Amino acid sequence: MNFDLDENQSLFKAAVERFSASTDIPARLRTRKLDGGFDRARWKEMAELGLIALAASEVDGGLGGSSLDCAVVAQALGRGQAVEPWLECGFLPARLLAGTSIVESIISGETLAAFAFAEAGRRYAMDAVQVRARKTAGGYLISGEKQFVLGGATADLFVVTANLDGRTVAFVVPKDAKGVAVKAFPVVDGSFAAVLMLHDVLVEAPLPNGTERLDKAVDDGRLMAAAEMTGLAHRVFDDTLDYVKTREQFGQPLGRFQVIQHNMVGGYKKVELMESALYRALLAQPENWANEMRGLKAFVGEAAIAVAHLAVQMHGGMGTTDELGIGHGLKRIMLLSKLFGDPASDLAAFARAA
Amino acid sequence: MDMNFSTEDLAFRDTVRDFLGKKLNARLREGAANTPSVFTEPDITREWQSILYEKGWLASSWPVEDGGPGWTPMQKYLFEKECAIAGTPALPILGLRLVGPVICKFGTPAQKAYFLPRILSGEDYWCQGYSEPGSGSDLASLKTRAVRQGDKYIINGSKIWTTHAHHANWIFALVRTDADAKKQEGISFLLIPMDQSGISVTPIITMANEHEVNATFFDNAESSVENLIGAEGQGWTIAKYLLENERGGSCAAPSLLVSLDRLEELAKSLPSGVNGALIHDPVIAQRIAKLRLETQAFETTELRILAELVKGRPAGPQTSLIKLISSNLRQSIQQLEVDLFGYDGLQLPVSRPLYGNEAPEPIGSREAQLAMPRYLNGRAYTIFGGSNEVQRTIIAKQVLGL
Repeated sequence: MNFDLDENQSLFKAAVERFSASTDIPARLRTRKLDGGFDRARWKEMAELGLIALAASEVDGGLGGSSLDCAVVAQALGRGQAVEPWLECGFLPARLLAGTSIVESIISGETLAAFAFAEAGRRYAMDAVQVRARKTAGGYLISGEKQFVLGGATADLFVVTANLDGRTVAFVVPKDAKGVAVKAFPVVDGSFAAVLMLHDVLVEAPLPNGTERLDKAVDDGRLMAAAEMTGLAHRVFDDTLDYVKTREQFGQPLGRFQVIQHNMVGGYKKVELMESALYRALLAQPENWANEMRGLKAFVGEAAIAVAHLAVQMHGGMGTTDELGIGHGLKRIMLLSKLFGDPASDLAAFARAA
Repeated sequence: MDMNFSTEDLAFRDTVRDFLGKKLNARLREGAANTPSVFTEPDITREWQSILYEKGWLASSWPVEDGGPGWTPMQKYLFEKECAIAGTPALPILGLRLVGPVICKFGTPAQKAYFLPRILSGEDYWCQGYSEPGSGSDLASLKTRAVRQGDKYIINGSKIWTTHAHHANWIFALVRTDADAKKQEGISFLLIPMDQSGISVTPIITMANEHEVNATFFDNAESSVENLIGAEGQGWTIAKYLLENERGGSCAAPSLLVSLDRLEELAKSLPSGVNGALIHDPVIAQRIAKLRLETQAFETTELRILAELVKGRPAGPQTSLIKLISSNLRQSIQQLEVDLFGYDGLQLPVSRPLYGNEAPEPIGSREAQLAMPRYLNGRAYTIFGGSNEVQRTIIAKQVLGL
């Protein structure tokens, strides 16, 4: 038995740490003020480190990283509070578009892709109902509206789920195709998502094995969200630990007060369990994979929110501002905990299957 | 034992209800409902203030001779409750609820004559200078100095979390006038005009993207000795009076119940994504029910304290219990609200206000757009006015005798 990272995993972790070391809060706020809240130069830099390639198979020109390899990167990005949408615009497109020639430009950072799966009025349902596709001469026509397209404000193309003859499949929709309209709006982590409006957009055939492809990418997406949340929770906890050791009130560091000590131990317990839950899920068998990922995300999502709340509370007024990583951590956790379902819906699904 | 209001109380309630029905116009209603921060912007509060001012209902916690309406504790409660139900805008409480009662209680006749009418009319807008970068929960460790020179004080130091300092023309501050005295004893309560070159105000942006609080810096700022409230060194006693006034005679449960009613209605119309409306999801239904049970019990706790006040007994340290319970309930309700909206609850608008023609277009609905900023701002409820850790210590010592 051995829970250590192997050499490659350690190298990737170190690369992420170097990459995110420069992302202090002022840098973060500057990035969010750029068009679409996104820095293309930094994205290319991330791509050059092979961080996106890791998520793609060798056949597609990637590095063929395992789930564990990718989770190590996601966790390190969380820990480093990276502002780049690696999960949304890197990992997910690399998986969703596997086997297509597009992956190469995703890996290089040339093309930004976003996953359009959510529909208005359907909460966390993953099947496509409102966006519909039909076969026509020379391809398929696709119409309808997608909500909450993360990274959608700056994406060059979209992977869109659509209903084709009663099945949910995925199409590639370039942003500049005729009939595509994008409405950007700001979301909680400071990035800009989009509403994607499609009106008889002519597209090529759906991606093969659509349903399985989508299910697998979403299951792995849940894992990456959980890994990033684990890293984020660890980060805000460590920052808080430093703070209560140094911040003095009533003539001594806050951490000398028993009530603060007990609160911090509660947070430590959660962070430790999140880490263990993540490792356990990574070792799950293929036949249980989907369900284990939902259980993991339910557990980690709830724990991460609790740790972030603790971090804000222990920081007092400063924790409620945009000037510390604490608030940024809470906000990213809020977003990830609801990606592809919130802790309650993930838990309900896990309970049903168990 | 009974929980009924008297016939006179009910008649008073109806008078208030009738008045609010006539005077609370659509603009004020929208401004109040679509403000996700703790304080409402002055453009809304000023209008509402002038309406109550005309009616003589503005300063419910002031003595009649100073301009208060002369209400009993029960009438104050009923007024607050009706305001919560009607959805009135928040009033500028720093003047009306905090420094106003302090001036009523400790001010000289000249101070009362000058400041009180200006608070009532809205001519003066106040902010509070209590916390400092190094003094949060441990307020008595504050370092801002006021040194007397002839007929004025020269003030140096900094204050933090000065809510609406960017709108205020006066600040009431705790300052150290005697550097040699023991912690609490060297502190004085000083009123300082904001419009002077020795004061600068720097915004602190909250994680909800709002500019509500500031850091305020004093660099040889000046204030006349006539602006000292009470005696030098009496500041801590006055500050304690103010904090008790801030927390005493509370009416927090009615607005929590209004929020819960609103969320329950929303759950009946928002989708579950699997099985009709969200209210059919047993997890959501139970969360709402559980919060309702606790909030109803909390409402009764407030009424039990009110009944003691009516008998002329002081609220005492029970006010810490009120703060503890209401802040936690408020946060749970706000978290539920975010959860109800699913993905739409994750939008976080960058610009303000969220009412009027300038408001950014929401995704889904305006209510969905308000949920996240409200939740993020709400994390401060368990921190400001004495953190919940401090409240627990007060209860442990003063109520439980530990």
